[in-house]
Amino acid sequence: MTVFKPRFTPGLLAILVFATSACAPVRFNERERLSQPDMVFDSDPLQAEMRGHIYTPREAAIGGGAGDAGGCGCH
Amino acid sequence: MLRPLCLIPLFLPLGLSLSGHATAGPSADELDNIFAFKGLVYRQEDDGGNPEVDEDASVYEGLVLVRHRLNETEAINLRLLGDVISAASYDEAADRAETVSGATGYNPGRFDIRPGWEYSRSGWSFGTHISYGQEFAYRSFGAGLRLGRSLFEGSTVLGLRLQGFSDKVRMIRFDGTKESDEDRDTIGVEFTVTQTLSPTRVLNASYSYTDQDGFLATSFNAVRVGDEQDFEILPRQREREALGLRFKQALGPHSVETAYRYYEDDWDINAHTLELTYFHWLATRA
Repeated sequence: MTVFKPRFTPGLLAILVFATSACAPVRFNERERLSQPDMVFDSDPLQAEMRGHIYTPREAAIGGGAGDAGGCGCH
Repeated sequence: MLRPLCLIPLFLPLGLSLSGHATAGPSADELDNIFAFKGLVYRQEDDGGNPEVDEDASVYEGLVLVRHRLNETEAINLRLLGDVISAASYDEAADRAETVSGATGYNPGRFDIRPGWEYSRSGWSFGTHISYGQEFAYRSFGAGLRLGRSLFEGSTVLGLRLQGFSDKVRMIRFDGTKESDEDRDTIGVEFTVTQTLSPTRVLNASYSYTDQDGFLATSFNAVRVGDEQDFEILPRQREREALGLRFKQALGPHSVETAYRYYEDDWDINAHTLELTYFHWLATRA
């Protein structure tokens, strides 16, 4: 059996380190624009569900993330 | 190993999307009351690429999400999903199974129900849910946990999500025969970080890993070997990874989101997805 070795973890950790240490915090009083719905990721609670529908047929299975539902992958 | 005739259907999404919220633009971490619904229509048209198989298909799907705040720190939620499916392989398998073994009964599609509970306090958030889904040849039990932590006055938000499914595949074959049920187990983990870069820029990175074991083929799919049809056979183990990056940039009152996702698994399938979304305000903000 092929042993699958995750390849992304080092890159992700580098992004995490960058994200959490290289950026000065943006104070809450500077976040008026960021609080608008269009600047919030997945502000539409069902948009992520719809996004999964894009990935499903492209990746030959139901879902690509941990949050996707079980299913037979037949449609 | 047999190769499936059509493992990756070419769905042509015809967008019919309706949604409504009880509150304006709630984020995933908030506990405000929500009622949201969407409807989708999928059409797959057979252009004759495979003369042996009718690949026409249509799926009508409805999604409903309801969240009710219980108090300052807790909320409960419910997600309902329903599909009505019409496809040659799906319909024929159900019809033949009903005719030969009486295995199905009337069941034109799929439903999935997922109740959950959410908690948020002092920069921490926690959520859990259970789920049950059913198709005529499939039953799925699931459970999930979500943990979130806000840091640096909210400039950085970390998220961890764990999810597991214990599924049962009814072995209804394309020729109407029925074998003993098979198991399929899925465990997944997803890690996300959302970082505010400036008052007008925000970045989101995510990594997910999923492990699946058991019967991973579709029981009623058929593959053609020479002049004969045979059952679909796939490996019984699969490991999958996906890395996603999303970036939002405000452009005055408008904004642009750029997203990229890379997926790969140990079946040597990989996929690149690039999305560009422009948000344009048509009305004056309140």
